[in-house]
Amino acid sequence: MVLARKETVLAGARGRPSRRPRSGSRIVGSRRSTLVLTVLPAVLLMVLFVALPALEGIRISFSDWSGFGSVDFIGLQNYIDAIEDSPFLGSLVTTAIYSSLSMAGIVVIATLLAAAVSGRVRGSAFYRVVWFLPGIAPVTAAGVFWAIAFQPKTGIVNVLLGAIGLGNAHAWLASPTLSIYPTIFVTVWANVGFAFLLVLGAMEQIPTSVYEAARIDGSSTLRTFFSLTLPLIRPVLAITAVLELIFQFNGFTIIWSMTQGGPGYATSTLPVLIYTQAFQLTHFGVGGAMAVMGGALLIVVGLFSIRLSRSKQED
Amino acid sequence: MPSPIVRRRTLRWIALAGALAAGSLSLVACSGGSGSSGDSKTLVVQIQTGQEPEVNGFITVFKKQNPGVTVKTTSVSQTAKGGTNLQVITSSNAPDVAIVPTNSEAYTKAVDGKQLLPLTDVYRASDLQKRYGDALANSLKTDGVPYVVSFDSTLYSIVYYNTGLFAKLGITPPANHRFASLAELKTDVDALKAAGHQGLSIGPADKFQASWMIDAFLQSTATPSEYQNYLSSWQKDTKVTAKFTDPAFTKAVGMIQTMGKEGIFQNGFLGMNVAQSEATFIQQQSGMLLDGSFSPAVLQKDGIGFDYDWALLPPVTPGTQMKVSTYNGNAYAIPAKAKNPSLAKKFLESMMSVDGQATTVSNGGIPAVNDVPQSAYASLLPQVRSELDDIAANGSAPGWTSVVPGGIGQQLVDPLVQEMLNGNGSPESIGRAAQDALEKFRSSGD
Repeated sequence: MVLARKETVLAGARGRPSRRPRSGSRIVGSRRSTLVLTVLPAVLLMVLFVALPALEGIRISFSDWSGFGSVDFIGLQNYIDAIEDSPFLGSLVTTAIYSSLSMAGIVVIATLLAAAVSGRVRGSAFYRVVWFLPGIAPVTAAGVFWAIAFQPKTGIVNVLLGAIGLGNAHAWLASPTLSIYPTIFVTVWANVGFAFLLVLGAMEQIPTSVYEAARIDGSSTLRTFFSLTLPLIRPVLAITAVLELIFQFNGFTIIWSMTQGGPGYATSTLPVLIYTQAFQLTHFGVGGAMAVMGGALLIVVGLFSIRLSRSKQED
Repeated sequence: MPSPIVRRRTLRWIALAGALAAGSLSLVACSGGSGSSGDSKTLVVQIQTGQEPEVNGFITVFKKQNPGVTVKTTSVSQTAKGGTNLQVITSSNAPDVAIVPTNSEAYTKAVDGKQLLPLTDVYRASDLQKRYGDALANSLKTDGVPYVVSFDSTLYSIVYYNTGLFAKLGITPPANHRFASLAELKTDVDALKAAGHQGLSIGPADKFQASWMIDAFLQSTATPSEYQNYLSSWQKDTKVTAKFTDPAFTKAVGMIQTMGKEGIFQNGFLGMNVAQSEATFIQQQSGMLLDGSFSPAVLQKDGIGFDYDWALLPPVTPGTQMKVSTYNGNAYAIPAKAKNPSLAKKFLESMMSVDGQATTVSNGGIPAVNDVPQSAYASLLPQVRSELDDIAANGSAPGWTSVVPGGIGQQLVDPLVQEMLNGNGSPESIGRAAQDALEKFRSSGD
């Protein structure tokens, strides 16, 4: 627009006929159409694969639908059923525990591992690969492996504990209060590699001169880590934490392959409960209502977390 | 910067390419993916994972009777068959012959939505009313119309016990393949535990074995008329005379709670699935295993190295004669959108012929019909033959969770039983949940 105006002025000053301004507006128009053409596919894909399914999901949550045939509007009944359905509220608590502890475990361990590699511990090039390996393993296979590993007496975890005198008959997966923790352990194990790479990338962006200055000032390794490294990578840590919270809130595969949400409903996180409602009991409406409420909650938590991390950065 | 003419041409080409791509996508979508769009010589049959030998046996017999017909198979998992498979069988890519377990929501919803073809003519052509027997034939119908064909029988809630271990520890085996009482079972478990073994292995993590036991115990807590009503009250034309809140039901559930409290099951049982439970038995960590008629073949394949026999769970009220629980929910149906319904009906008729059913036996299964010659049963493992002999002498009982829709039975109740064994909930709360589900089910669609 500015360019077009400038050219009009120039053309007028030189007393030429007004051909150039039209050419200028063509250039601007061409840029606009290029912009529209390049953005359009992404917008179309977003509408097609995100907005429309989300709207359809919301519509189903207000309907009675068993997976085929007509979708009959029934108002808020599914939401009432979901809230009155005792596994739903319990499941929200389970999901909160599972996702927050998994997120905390992943971020803390990823940060420590990244600090070790960034600090060039012996064999750091080797660890850089090794710590990422669990992230490559097929999640279902890993879940089945760990479900067997946690069995009393025969599972490798119990065998190792037995070997060091801590008993070999721990039945964590059978306990209503403890069964969530092995799933959190496996979730951390499987996901720490990705977070590790993100945090390591951030740490390696810190100029070495900063560390050298700290060393000259006599700062200890621990002090340098807490007073320099952590504050400088806080934006990446915050986004990693939010991402992991969202990933684990929506996590399904590890829990399903390890416990199928059991014993009873002890490890039934929201995705597991929604899957059961929709695809096993064919109550797509109730499952949809649970998904909408869970999604809304996640958006609120995500926005709050991002806002919190931004305000801390501004401080 | 390209000239306007070049730009216009480029845009035209892009538009043309877009239109072609969209057209191709539409054609692909309309053509379907099965490759059998109405080809009367190609039949698409679903196979549940793990049932390949049995169904391949049916296919072999069918191909012999119908040379020139190609049979394509598609796999369905144990988990998907009662749930997500509903979307497959109601889609435009529906197979010709679909797996529809009768005790699943998939069956109930598909019948309600008129998504399955009535199989009255198949029943007539194969004389299934007579060959199944009235009890089974009627249990496979909804409002008097058959929509599924049960292709085999499964016997379950059976306790297998290690005979060598019992003898070594001086434990008296259950007389006549029956534990007389919970006290007898408890005595045996205590003896096993005293020798460093576990008691009865179960695998509830797969979400069916915990509720299986209700089927067995209900035989001894309900009168015959109550039992029959529990099996059929989900059908809207049947009057509800026995409620799930009645003692007949809650006592049966209460027996499972008592067994849990008495330490009958193995350590950590709620975290184990069926395969892990079987492994515990094979490794002789436990002396007993709760499983079904399919287990001897599995145990043999897994290299079991000792002799074992079988018995039925004890009655709630001592003195009641227990019967083997049966499941006939392994069933095939023809989706309303099947492309070759007449060929599919021929397949079902072939499967239910004596030759077809005899192949079930050769693959370790039990036929659903009663006219397969006794000589065909010779290939079964001795434990299964013994179970069949027992049924011939004492009869059998269709299990409650095998018959009622999953939303009232197994899929609803199994997690609740597990919760109860964890100390959350009671037989009464489970009874109330089942009764609520029943009333909701009966009032739906009114």
